[in-house]
Parts: sequence; structure tokens; C-alpha cells
Amino acid sequence: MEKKRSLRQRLGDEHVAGYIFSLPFIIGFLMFMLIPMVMSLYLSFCKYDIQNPATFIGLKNYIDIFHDKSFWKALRVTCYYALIGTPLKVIFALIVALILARDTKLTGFYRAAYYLPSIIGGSVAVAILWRRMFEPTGTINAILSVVFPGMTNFNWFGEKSAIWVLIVLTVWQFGSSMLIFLSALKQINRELYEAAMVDGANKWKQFWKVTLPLLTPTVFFNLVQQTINSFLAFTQSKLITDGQPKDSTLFYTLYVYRKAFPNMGKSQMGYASALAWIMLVIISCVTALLFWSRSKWVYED
Amino acid sequence: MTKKRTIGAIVYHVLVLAGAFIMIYPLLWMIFSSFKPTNSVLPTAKQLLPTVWTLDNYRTGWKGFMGYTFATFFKNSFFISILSTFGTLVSSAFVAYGLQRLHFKLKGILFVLVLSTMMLPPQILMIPQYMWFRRLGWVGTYYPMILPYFFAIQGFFVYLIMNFIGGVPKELDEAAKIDGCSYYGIFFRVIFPLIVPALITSAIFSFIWRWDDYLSALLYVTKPEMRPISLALKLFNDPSSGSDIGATLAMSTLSIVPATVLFLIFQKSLVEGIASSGIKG
Amino acid sequence: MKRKAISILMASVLALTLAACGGSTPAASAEPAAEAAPAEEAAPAEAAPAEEAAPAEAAAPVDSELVVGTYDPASAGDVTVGFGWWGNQVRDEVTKAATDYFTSVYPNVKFNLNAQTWNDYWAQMTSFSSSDTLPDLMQQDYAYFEQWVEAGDLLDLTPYVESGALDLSKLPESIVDTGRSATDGHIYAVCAGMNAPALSYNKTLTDELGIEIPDNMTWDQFVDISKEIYEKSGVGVLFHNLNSENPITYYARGLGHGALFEAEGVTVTPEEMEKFYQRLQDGVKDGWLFSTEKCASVDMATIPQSPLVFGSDPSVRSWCAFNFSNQYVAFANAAEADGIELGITSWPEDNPTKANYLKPSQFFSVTTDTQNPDLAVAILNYLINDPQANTLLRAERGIPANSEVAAAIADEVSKTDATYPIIVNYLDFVAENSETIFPPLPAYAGTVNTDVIQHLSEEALDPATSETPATLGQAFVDEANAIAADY
Repeated sequence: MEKKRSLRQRLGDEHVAGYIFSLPFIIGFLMFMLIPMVMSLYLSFCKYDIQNPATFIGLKNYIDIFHDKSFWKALRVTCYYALIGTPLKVIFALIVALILARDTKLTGFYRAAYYLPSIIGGSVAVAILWRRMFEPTGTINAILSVVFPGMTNFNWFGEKSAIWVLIVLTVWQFGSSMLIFLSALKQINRELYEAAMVDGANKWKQFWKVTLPLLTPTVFFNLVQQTINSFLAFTQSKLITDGQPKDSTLFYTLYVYRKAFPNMGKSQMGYASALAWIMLVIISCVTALLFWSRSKWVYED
Repeated sequence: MTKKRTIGAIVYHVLVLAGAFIMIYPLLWMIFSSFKPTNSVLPTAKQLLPTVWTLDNYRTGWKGFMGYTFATFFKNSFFISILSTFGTLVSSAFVAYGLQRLHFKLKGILFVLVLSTMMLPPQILMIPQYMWFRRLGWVGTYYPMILPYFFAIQGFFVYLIMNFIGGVPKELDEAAKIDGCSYYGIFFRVIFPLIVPALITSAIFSFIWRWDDYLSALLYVTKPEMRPISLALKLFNDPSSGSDIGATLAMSTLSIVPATVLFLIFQKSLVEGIASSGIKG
Repeated sequence: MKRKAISILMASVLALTLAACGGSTPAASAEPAAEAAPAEEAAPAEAAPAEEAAPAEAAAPVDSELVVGTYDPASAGDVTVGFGWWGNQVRDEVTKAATDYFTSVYPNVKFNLNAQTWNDYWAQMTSFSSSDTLPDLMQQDYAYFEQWVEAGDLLDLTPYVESGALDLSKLPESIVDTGRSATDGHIYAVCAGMNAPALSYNKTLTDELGIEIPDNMTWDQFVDISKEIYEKSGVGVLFHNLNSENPITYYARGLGHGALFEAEGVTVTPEEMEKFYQRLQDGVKDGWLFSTEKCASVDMATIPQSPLVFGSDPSVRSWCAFNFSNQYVAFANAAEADGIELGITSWPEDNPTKANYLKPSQFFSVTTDTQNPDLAVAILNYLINDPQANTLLRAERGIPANSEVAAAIADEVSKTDATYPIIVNYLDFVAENSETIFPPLPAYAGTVNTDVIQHLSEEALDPATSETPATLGQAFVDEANAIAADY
């Protein structure tokens, strides 16, 4: 080992190879994430309006945030949205993936149809449409009044229900999670089912004993991914409800954005940076919690 | 038995079709509305099919802004999305292999950092990144929208590909090793071909995200002829004064064509290719 | 620097004595220009010597087919001028047409045009500001520009006005003053077009119901009319945007406060604000005024979808819209699609003639990041004073503040835009029935809008609220003053 090794040998070392494979990320992280992050961490201790030089104010931003009613409101709204929207979305994705796993001539078409919403979901056109559908005289109410006579002109954009308009929208975009489930389903070894069948397990039992356990890593992946996405959701809230009414749909990121780039008045970039850092801590905790729970329910072979 | 099966199949198809219709209704609405005369789009929003069909929205929309047609914006978007997606795929797969298969000291920390890039609120980085890129002299160029992606900065893709590599039996690596393959050889000859489905999935996601991204375009594109389609579309729908909804929808419809086509081409290999790609091996 | 100082001095002398006389006469100016002696200009001189202004004749306009002031754009060499604004497709087209025309006369001057939507514009411009890459010319807003002056981003135009490089003599003094910063009294922005608060209303509906909408309505008249319309048709009233200081400013002016915001805080008392919020609560209680939840269910931001011109059920319609006169065009277009006719009158208030005002809809400013201040000012001069430029701009940013230009383009613009004469008419009416506009808003005002006014109006318009108008009134004054003190 002490002898000089050739370059080839060095590169062949597992540790060295590990760093070489990680090199793009290490460079990218330092260049494009760490430097800006350090800057933003510093700014979170400053009063900074972008146009004028930043002035250091210590912990003031963080203390102010603690007393900021809108911050708590935004946090509540975001948690509500993430805790309800994410599981719904993942469950939907799983159910539809199971249904579409069956091979028929139309399967390709079906998959495309169920997947497409997640392609266009972020577009301006869908935001417009979503408003139209849920407004008091819109399609949704028209259908509901047929199913439940007497229910007319329900205001979906009321204080309690507005968030649900956004939850429905996010659940509707389950396509990408569904695709990942579909891929995972295809990976499950057919022999396992055959073995289960020999053991006399019906379809239902097969699902619980074979499919679901083998899918848990994928469920986990989707859950982590979608939870983070929910916490970072921005566009829909901005375009469809703009946080209204009475901040009942004020997503955390929208609040951060408003502080950083207000419609009117000076930017409070320092305050926004502090808000964003708090969000980072919260998301880290939630993710850590998910990873901690991983060993409890995720099947590993 | 067969009769029962046929009935079952019919019920299945009817239900799945109905679900599919509900799922793509908004999409259909967008497409059909784009063929309605622009001033009748909203008044007849509940009606799916146009009474009068017209291509005017496409004509007016395509003209674009200030002398630049949507052809320019499409070209720009393709340029940005394809290059950045290429960079993302190559770099993410490379890094994912290292983190999934190799053992080295800082692996744990690096993995946490990869995950953390998924959790960063984009707003946190926007301005500092801008100030940094400005120092690098990148403002007004496409560099900020392309180059970073060659460094696997999106943890999502690294993590996604890691998961797929995790599904590749380790025995394949071992066998290749015995055959004298280096880690690099294993990656390029064994792993890379096997994770093509994951790469396709990633490519589609990455392409769409880059295609839809307008925030960085807003900050870094300073010339109208450099605008990608996302930014152009955003400008089309200006709330502060009248906007041409027909043209917006027409151009929105065109803007989702590439992603849709991409998906339709690859969906089979995307979902099913995995099984046949030798992972079972 | 020295040359500039001399120019200023000479220009003021000129203005006093009108001693200097000269040859060329530009299109819209009768002012005589000097027969210029060759100058010791530092700039690369491509222009004919006759057009070169010696320091003594700095105030002499350049002989050009465009009204560009005293600087000859041809002498700038090959340059690209950045020009940023927020707007919409129409504004983009007309502004491009005007700049293209400039380039056709001065092929050495190219433009880098940057059009954004309102929100994106400010996000982008503040970023540019941090990196000193602002465009040479930028559109500014009355509520915003003081903040940009404070940040040192806008060029002081006063020297150019004094030297004659920027000719504001055809603009009403009161409008020129709107571009002055409160801190030093210097001019940093020039009015790109004028507008005024305007109530657009559904004339088809009011005619049907046989209701006459008088000009200069008082608040009580407005309430009676709104109640009547609501009872007869079910159509209500959508008040201002919830985060807007406009209704409060208007109310404060009606009470005799010239402005709502002053440097140290707001002018209104808690009692006055109590009455303001009482009005809103009463309106919601009586049913005709849109509640908070109803406001959320309609589109407040997009004109073609606003309740005045869009909606299939009376319960989601408003018979009027509180807006500004330059938006009337877009409302009228949307109304046509809806099959209704619009009328225009002043916002209701108890002393409407005290409350109403003429306002610059937008400003143009030159930024301190410009490399060619003289050229940028010349272009600004062109945009403000050139009849051809303004014909191309189609009064999209409001009626030109240069009254000669406004008159010169009337026929041409009316040809394609039938609302032009209606708006001019209304502005004439406002000119007779208004008082001088409040000074530019102090920088803290925007934060009051987003952080205070929004949530208080949401409470006031919420029928289930537990807050009384008195507590809301008190909260408004306290919170606004706290923000002012903290800035």
C-alpha cells in the first residue's frame, strides 16, 4: 500500500472513484448552491431592500417573524395543504397505477390521458380554467346542482373551501407519481405472484402481501418528493387565489415571494431570506421524520 | 367465463375512459377554446366545442411581441431545455452511481446535501444566485439556465436515478468487476444501458421543468429575442389590462405539444422498457 | 461637468432675456434656435456643424425631423439604448413602433426593449438595480418612484430641463411637479400620460332600470343608487382592490386632507377611518357590496373577466368598477364582447371636487445606470413632445401631458380608438372638478398597502367579522404609523 501507485490504480480505488463520481455534484453544489446560500444566510440577518446596501440587524428578522401573524397563518395553511394534499395525491397515483398496469390495446392512451394533467398543470391556462370551473356560476356548481338539487351557487372561494380548490388541483396532477408507480409495478417479479397464487392468495391478498410491500420504497420516494413539493408549492396559489380570502390560501412560499418582491413598496429581502431559512429547517425536519419512519414501514430486500 | 370477462373488460374500459375524460377535460377545454373566437371563450366557457371554428387565435398569437414571433421563442426554449436536460441526465446518472454503489468517506454527507437541494425554497436562492451569476458575468446570457445543470444540482434526478440503480442487481456489477471492468467501465457499460428507462423518465421531467421555468428567464434574459416560450406566454396573459385569452390559449396549446409528443413517443419504453431492459437478469 | 454647469447658467439667462435667436425650427416647437458656432464637443461629431450647439446656445433645439431637444442623437455613435416598461401587448406594440421610428431617423441608435407584466417588472428591475444594469430608460409609477430616487437609481433631470435638453414647457406645471421628488424638489420622472380616477359603469343596466347616474355623486347618492340596483336586479358593487390605498386617499381628500400619506404617517384620524370602515360594513350588511369571500370568487385583476363586464349571474356582477381612465379602453372592449354599453363618471365621495385629481398614469425616467444620459434624455424628450411619436404611442399610457401634442394626435388616434374623445372629455371634466394631486407617495406607503390595508379591508368586508369599525379605524392609523416610523 505504501508503494507509489499508478494513476490507474488510484482511480481504481473505490474511495477515489467515489469522489470522482461525486465531483460534478460537489462542484455544482459549491458553485451554485453553497455560495448563494451563504449569501442568503447572511442577508437573513440584515435589513436589505435590494436597491440599497444591506445593513446588519442581528436576529431582528427572526424575532419579528416569531411575532408575525401572517407567518403563522402561512405556516398553518401550508401544513394543512401538504398534510392533506400529499397523501391524497400519492394514494390516487397508486390506485390509478394499479388500474392501468393491466395491458390492453388502449393502455397507452389511458396512461397518456392520466399523465397529461401533470404536464400542463403549472400553466397559466389551467389556472384560468380552474377559476372558471370553481366560480359560483361555474361547471362544478352546475354539476352539483344536478346531483344535489337545492345546492346552488356555493362559493368555493370562501374562507374554508378555497384551499380545497387548490388541493383538488394538486391531486389532479398525480401523473408523475403514477408513472413512477407504474415503472415500479413492472419491476415486480411475476414469479412472486405465481408463488402467492400457489399459496392460494386471491387478488386482494396478493396486493397486500406482495404488491404493496414491494412498492413501499416507491411510495416512500413519492411521499418524500410530493411532501417537499407541497411545502414549496407556489404557482397555483399565486395564480388562482393569490392567497385570498383572508390569507386562507397564503402558501408559505407566496408569503416569502411577497416579502421579497412586493406588488408595492420596498422589497424586504432580508426578512424574506429569514423566512426561507425557517422553511428550510421545517422541511428538513419533516423529511428527517419521514426518513426516520422509513425503517418502520418500508420493505427492503 | 369469456362472457363474464368481456363484460368485465367493457366495464373496465368505460370506467377508465370516463376517468380519462375527466382528467383531460381541462386540456380539451384549452384546445377547443383556442379555436373559438377570442371574445366568446369566456362567455361560452361551459361549452366544450366551439360553435364557430377559427384559426385567428393562432394567427394573432404566433405574431408574438415586438417583431419576434413564437418561432423565436420556441427555438429558444428548445435550445435551453435540450441542453440543460442533457446536462442533467449525464451528470445526475454519474453522481447517482457513485452515491448508490461506491463506498467512500463523505458519501453520507453528500447524500444529505443531494436531498437538501430538493428542499431549498427556490426563492431563497434567487437573489443571491443572481448576484453571484452577475459577478460571473452571466447575466444576459443563457449560461445560468444551462450550465448549472451540468453539475447535477437537482437532487431529485440524482435520487430518482439512485433508486433505479438500486434496483439493478449487484451481481451484475460483481460479474463485470471479475471480467476486469473498472468502476467507470461498470458505469458506462453495465449501469448506463440498464437505467435508460430512468433516464427517459428524468428526461421528460427535466425537459418539462426547464420548458416551464420562467423565473430564471425573467432574471437572466434581457433581450426580447432571447425569451423562452414560458416568459413569452406569461407576457401574453397580463392581468393589469386586457389580455387576449384566445391567443393565450392557442399559444399555451402549442407550448405543451413538445412535452406531449415526447411523452407519447416514450411512454411505452418509459413504463415497460424497464421490464425488458434486463433488470430481471 | 463644466459644460453642463455653463449650459444651465446660460439656459437660465436665455430664458430670462430671450436674447439668442437662431435658424432651425423643429416640428412642434416655435422656439427659435441659434445659428450655432462649431463647438468643442467631446462626443464624436458626425452631425453637420450647423447642428452642433456651442455652450452658449445649449438651449437651441437640434434641427431634426424629430423633437429631441438640444442633443443630436446622431452624434452618439452606434449605441443600443435599453428601455423597460410594464404593460400589455398593445403597449408593447405601440412603444416598439415609436422606438422603431426613432431608429429609422437615427439608424445609429438601436433599442433593447424590455416589456414585462407589473409584478415581474418590479422583480426584474430591483434585481437589475442591485447589479447596476438598469435600462437607460424605465417606466416608473407614482407610488414607486420616490423609493427609486432614494436608492439613487434615477437620474436628476432638472439640469436637462434647465438646459432645454428636456423641454417640459408644454406640460402643465402641476403635472411637471408630480415628477419632483419630495426630498430635494428635483425632477426625476416625466409624465408619460395623464389619467384620473374614473367610475366605469354598466349604462345598459342603469338605462334599463331607469336610473340616472349623476356626475360628482356623493357617497349617500351612490349608496341609494347601489341599493336600488341591487334590489331591482341583484347586481352588486365590487369595491376597490382590497390592498389599494386609492379609496382611502380619495376619502381623505374629500375630508380636506390633501393626501393620505405624509412623511411621518397618515393624515386621517381613527374616527375618520371608523366612518370609512362603517361604510363598508353597512354596504355588506345591506347586501349590495361584495363581501371578502365574494371578492375572492371573482376576478379582480383581469379586466375582461372583471364583474363589470363578465359573469352569467347577477349575483357575480357589479354595476360599476372603480378604476382609472386609461383602463377605460380595455373595459369598453370587454363590455362590447359582453354586449353592454359603458358610461364613465367620477368616484363617489362627499366632496367629489376636493377628492378628485388628475394623475400621471405612468412616468418615464432615465436611470443612473445609463452610459448615454444625453441621448436618453433626447429620447425622453421625443417620447413626451414629438407628435409623431405620440401618434404611434396611441395615448395608450393616458392622454399626453403635452397639451399641443394631445390636440395634434386627437383625430388620428380617434380613428382607431373610439374611446379617445370620451376619455379626453372626462379628463376635461376632472380638470374643472378637482384639486391638485397629492405629492408622490412616501416610500413606506407600499408596505402599508400590502401589510395593513389588505387585511383591514378583508375584515371590514367580512359579514362574520368580530371587529367593529372603531377598532379597524384605530388599527389602521396605529399600524400605518408604526410602519412609517420603522422605515
